[in-house]
Amino acid sequence: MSAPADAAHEPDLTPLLDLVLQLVMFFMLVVHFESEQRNEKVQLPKAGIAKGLVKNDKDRILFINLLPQKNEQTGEVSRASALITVFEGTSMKEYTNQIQLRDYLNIEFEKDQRAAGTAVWSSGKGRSVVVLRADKDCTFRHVYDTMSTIKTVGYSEVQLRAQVDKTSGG
Amino acid sequence: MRHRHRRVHETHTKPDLPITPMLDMSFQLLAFFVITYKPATLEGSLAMSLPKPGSDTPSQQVNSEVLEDDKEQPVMVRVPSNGSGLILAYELNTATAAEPIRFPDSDKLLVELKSIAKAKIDAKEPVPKLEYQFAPDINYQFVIKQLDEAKQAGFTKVTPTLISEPKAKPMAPAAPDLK
Repeated sequence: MSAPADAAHEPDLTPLLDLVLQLVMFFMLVVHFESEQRNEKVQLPKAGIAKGLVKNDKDRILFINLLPQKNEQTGEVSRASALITVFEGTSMKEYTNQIQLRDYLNIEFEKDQRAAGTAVWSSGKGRSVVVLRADKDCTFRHVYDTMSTIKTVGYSEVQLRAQVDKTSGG
Repeated sequence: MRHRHRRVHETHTKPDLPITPMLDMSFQLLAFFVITYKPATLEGSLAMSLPKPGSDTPSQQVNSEVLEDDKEQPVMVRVPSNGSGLILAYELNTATAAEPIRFPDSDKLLVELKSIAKAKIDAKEPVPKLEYQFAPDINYQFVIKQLDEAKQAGFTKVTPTLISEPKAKPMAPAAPDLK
């Protein structure tokens, strides 16, 4: 007697399954696995006209993160130096001066040169895209020194990273 | 007729699809994505030409190099600081102006920069390079704001460099002693 009654009250799970699968699909589309080599401590400044990364498909990207060092007691930003963070694969390397950064970039520049071949290299192509992610609390001196180091190694352009500000014009 | 007769006598067996395990799995997938979901801040890039290396001050030598490269004098904006990381004023120096034009805020500078770029575009001439000279202690977020506004004004080639000291005016020759 109870069996037919149970069968009659069995909930229809199909719409629920549909809903859940749609939610799964949504999260699969918007999920952002960490593919970029970013230091999460860096708080980028805002810019209204910042665009997506300009690069060719074959270009490698070198991320340089710049974080000002703060006085632990007072919380004041040191104007003298900034912590430079780069990534080699998944491992993060921290440099405290421009000489260490220059040595790292020299190695990467040579890698580019070897990978590009003579014809491509001499046409001015094959260089990695250098992306500078500097914290908004950095001083211009921090950024300028890093840009000068990048230039000294042989790169001619840099892309400054900023948080896209949708409220700003542009 | 015969067809209908057969249908009446068919035993209706409802296909039993096991929904529950599929729902369990879907919930697990959903839980995974909900836990790992982190709305990332939308980042963009501002492409910049790099400053000339090896010099703290973009002096005459650097400017002459720029001139040789482009055959056109860049528009220059000098941005001194107030000593605590804030911008004091903006000094615009163009090829046509004899003296730098001083702006107390960036809005008026932006209007001027837009008019310079628009005049060049209307005349079907290339928009000149824009060189910003920032004081070293200026906070980076103000630097980015200026570079962003320069791009908005229509300048495609923008270079940030360190500020140079204002040129010292040549001293007037001493008056001859008539005694």
